[in-house]
This record gives sequence, structure tokens and C-alpha cells, in this order.
Amino acid sequence: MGGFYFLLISLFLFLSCGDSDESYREVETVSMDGMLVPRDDYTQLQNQIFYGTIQIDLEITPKSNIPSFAWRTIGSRFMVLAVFEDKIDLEGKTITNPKDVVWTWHSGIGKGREGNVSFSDGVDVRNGEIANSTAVTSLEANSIYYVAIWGYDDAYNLMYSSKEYKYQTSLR
Amino acid sequence: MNFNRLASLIPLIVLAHVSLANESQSVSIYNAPFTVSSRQLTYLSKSIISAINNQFLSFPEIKIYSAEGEIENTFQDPNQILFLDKVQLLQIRRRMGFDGFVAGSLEQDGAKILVKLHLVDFSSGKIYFNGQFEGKFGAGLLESIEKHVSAFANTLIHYYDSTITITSEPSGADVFVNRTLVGQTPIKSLGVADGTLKIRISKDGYTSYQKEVRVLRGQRTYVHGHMYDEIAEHLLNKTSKWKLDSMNFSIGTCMQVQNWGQINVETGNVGNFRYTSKFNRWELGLEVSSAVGSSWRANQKFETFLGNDSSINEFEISFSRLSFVGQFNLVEKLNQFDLYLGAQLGCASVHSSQYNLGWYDLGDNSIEGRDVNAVLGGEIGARFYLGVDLKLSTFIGGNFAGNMSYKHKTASYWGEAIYSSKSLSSDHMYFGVALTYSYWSLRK
Repeated sequence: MGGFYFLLISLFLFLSCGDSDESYREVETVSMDGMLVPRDDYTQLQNQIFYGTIQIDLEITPKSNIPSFAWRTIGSRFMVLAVFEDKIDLEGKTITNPKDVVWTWHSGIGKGREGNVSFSDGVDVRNGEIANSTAVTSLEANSIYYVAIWGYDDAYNLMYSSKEYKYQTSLR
Repeated sequence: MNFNRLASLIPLIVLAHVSLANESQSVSIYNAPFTVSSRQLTYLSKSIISAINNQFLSFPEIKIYSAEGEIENTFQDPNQILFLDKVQLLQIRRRMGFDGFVAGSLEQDGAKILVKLHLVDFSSGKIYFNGQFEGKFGAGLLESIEKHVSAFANTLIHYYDSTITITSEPSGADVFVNRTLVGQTPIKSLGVADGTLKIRISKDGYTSYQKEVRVLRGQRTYVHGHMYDEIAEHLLNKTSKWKLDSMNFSIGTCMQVQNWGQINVETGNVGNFRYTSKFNRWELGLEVSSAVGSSWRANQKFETFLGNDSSINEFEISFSRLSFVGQFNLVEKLNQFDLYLGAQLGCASVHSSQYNLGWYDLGDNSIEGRDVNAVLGGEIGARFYLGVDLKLSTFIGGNFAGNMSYKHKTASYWGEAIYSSKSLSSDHMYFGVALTYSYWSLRK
């Protein structure tokens, strides 16, 4: 009986000595809602990038340097799809790190169609500006990118957005 | 004039007598024996008198009287009567009440008969006929006499018809004679009984015209009633220039024009309510204008990644204004037309708000613009009277009204659109119409 109590006490002490912050060891940032949002490499945001909007579920060709993107068509005239080389930073409903964007597609480009976009339908982005070059640069192999899509109604009110997708390109 | 001298001369008198004291409109004939130069003519004279009487008696209005008493003395000498002037003849009528006088004599000249006939109209103061008939006694002679007597009787009868003609300004007024409605002006030659008539002419919105008219038998009386309307009467009799004339309540609508082309504003109408007090040629009061119920829509086109003007920022603009108003009547034609010059001083609240925010609430009221500005303006207008109480006004004017701010929308590629404050001048021109009800202070 005494051995049983010793075993319980030992188990309690063992569990109490663990590092409680082990899974949140990375830098914490404060979201616009004032909540602590973990931002380590293995964390993926589960909500839309823009609060108060209708969610779009995005499907991406897995592990490709020239991925294709698909989502349920919503009929918006204004849709924007972007690939970031770093996590998406927001202030309110505005993306504050457009310089991290390497590729984008929007409804006005004239290629692809809303709901189904190939990588070649988009354009390169350099320093937050859409590049004029016609050729599209493939994503770097064996890299992590972050992908999101958002859209507007006819009056250009922000109405749709996806969550931030963490994307792994091909190994080679 | 000594009428007693005539009494000894009259040989034959037939009096046409109209009794003015009597209310009935009858003409009476007095018949006396025909004076003749010889007895042989007596029967002939009776025949002539009988023929004359028959003519008179063919008119039911005529009664024949014989000479007696004062009548006989007054008209003793028909020859003297023939020399009286008009005034004297009229005096005889007023004194004796006779309107006609018939006299004659009968003489014989050999085989011929000479008949002198005198027909005197006292009513008009003239000798109607003074002549003689000569010839053999017979149907031809009597017919000639009867023809003149008949015409004379007709003249007397119609002369004594009493009529009254009534007109008014304005026309179309009700006419009451002795409290009995007889029609509307103009009334021409209305047959009335002689005597005193109480005439009243009345029309809505005008002061009644009342007059007692003495109508004599046979007179044609003319009555014209010039009626002032109540308002004109009030204004003309007003003792103080600054005494309140009227309280005016106007409701109207107008269109505003301002330089808001860059936001493609669809200008709607502006409702306004205005109260003014009228003092002499001045009107002072308050005005409330509003475009809340029918707000104006505007849209600002902006560039997106789809190109220029590829999206529209729609919003509504509404305003309300409170002003002191003063107006001066440059031209004032009572109850017809006013031309006025006006000024306004007050404040206006202008509000713009987004119209197409989508289905969700941004929870941010910063996309509204609101300004409160001083307003200074001028106006010129005209009022057309639609009667005593109602006026229709048309006006045109302009206001300095400060600025109207709105939120200018700009597309952002990396998130939601950006709203920034911009302002446009609210100075504007306007024109419109209003209907005014006037409550005049004389109506207590």
C-alpha cells in the first residue's frame, strides 16, 4: 500500500517539473483582437485573415513549385490570391507586409478564372509591387510559403477571405 | 308762378292722372265735357272725347278722372300750360301728381271741323303734341286723333315702369333687394315696385355693399356697388405701418443646384416650410428646409485593379436648414401679385453616409461626414394670389452654405478600402414653388 502512495507522489512530482511553455517557445505577437496568437513555424492560423468576412476554403496542389489553387466559386468581381514568403502580418483589415509577397493573382489579370487558378496565371511581385515581366518565377524548392485569398463585393467592400495556409514546396 | 290764372280759361280738360300716392302702377284719365264754339258741336265733341277715352281705356293701367276741385282750378287755361318750360311742367307733376295732360277745343269753319289737341307729358316735362285736325267730321278725322292719343298713352305707361339696374365691381356678386336674393350682378332693368329699396350686394371675400335707394314710379335707377375685398379694406384703413397684417404659412418644394459633379450627385427636391409675419411691405419669419425624406444619392467612382472607375462608392446626402427670413415687397398689387426680394440667415446641417456597405456592419461610424455651417442667402420671388387666403409663390435664390464633407473611397490591393475625408462646397442655387395660406389679422 505504501508503495502505491509512493508511486502516485513520484508521478505527481514528475509531471509538475515539466516546462509549461515548451509548445509556445517562439515569439508571441498580439493580434488585432488582443489575443495571443502563437507564431511559430508549426502553427497555422485557423481563422480567416480578415475578421468578419466570409470564409473561403482554398485547395493547393501539394508540394509543388508551381502550385495550382482552387476554391468554391463565389462570383466576386474582385478576388486576390497571394503567396507570401513569410507569415502574413495584419493591421486591422490591411496586410502590412506586402513586401513578402512573391506571387499574386487577381481578377483583373485576365488569366485563369475565379475558383481555379494555375501558377502561370499569376504574376511575380517584387517589393510589394506587381512586376511587369510576363514570365512567372517558380517558387523556391524545399521552402515554406504562406498563401491566402481574399475578395470584395461590387462596391469593393472586403467580404471574403481564407485562412493563412502554410505551404511546403517540393524538396527539389 | 300763379296757376290760379289758368282756372278761368280752360275750356276742355282731359287729365291723365297718375296717382303717385297709390302703390299701383295705374295711369288715370280725367274726362271733362268738350268745350265747343257752338252748341251744334256738342255731340261731335262727345264723339271725339269718347274716341279719346276708348284709346286710353284700351290700356288696363290707365284710369280716367274728371276735373274737379283743385285739379280744375290748376288747369284752367291749356294755352298757358303750353308756354311753360320744362322745369315748370315738372313742378306741376310734383305738386299735383299728374303725369299727363290732354286738352282740346272744337270749332266749326263752314263745312269743316277744326279740332285742336294738346297732349302734355308732365313726367318728362314736355309738350308731347300740340296740333290741330281739320276736315269733315268722320272716321278719318277720328282715326287721326286716336293715333296720336294712343301713342301718348303708350309713352305714359312705359314711362312709369320702374326699373333698377345693378352692377358691381367685381361682378358675379349676389344681389339682395329687400332681403330677397334676386340674382347676381350684372342685373339689367329689373322691374321693381317704387318706393325705398334696400339693396345689398355681397360676395365672399369682399365687403358687402349696402344702400337704400329711393325708386320713383317710372324711374330707371342705376346702382353700382364697388366692393373692396376684406384684405384691401383692412390695409387701406390701417392706422399703423407696423401693425401685423397677416400670418403666412408656406409649404413648398425646390430644386438645388451645386457643384457636386465629382461625386455624381443625383439632386432631389428640398421640402421647406416657411412662416412669415407681414408688416406693411415687409415679411419676417423663419424657414425650415430639409432633404431628409428624399435624400440625395451620390456616387464616387474609383480605381481598382480592374481599372479606372471600376467600382462605385455610393452614399446618401441629407441636410436640414433653419433660417431667419426677411422679405420686402418691391411690387405689391393687393390680392393680385407681389414681387419680393428676400434674405436668409441661419445654419444648415449637412450629412453624408455610405449607402452600399455590404451585408455586414463595419462597426465604424467614421464613414459618415457631418457639417454644421452658417448659411447666408438671397432670394427673389413672386406671389400670385389665388383668392384672399391662398397664394402661389415661385422663387429663385442662392446660398453660401459652407462645405459638405464626405468620405472618399480608395481601393487597397492589400486589404479593405480606405476612406479619407474630402469636402465640397455646399454653395448652391435653388428654385421652387410654394403654396401659402395667409391668416389675416382682421379676421377676429
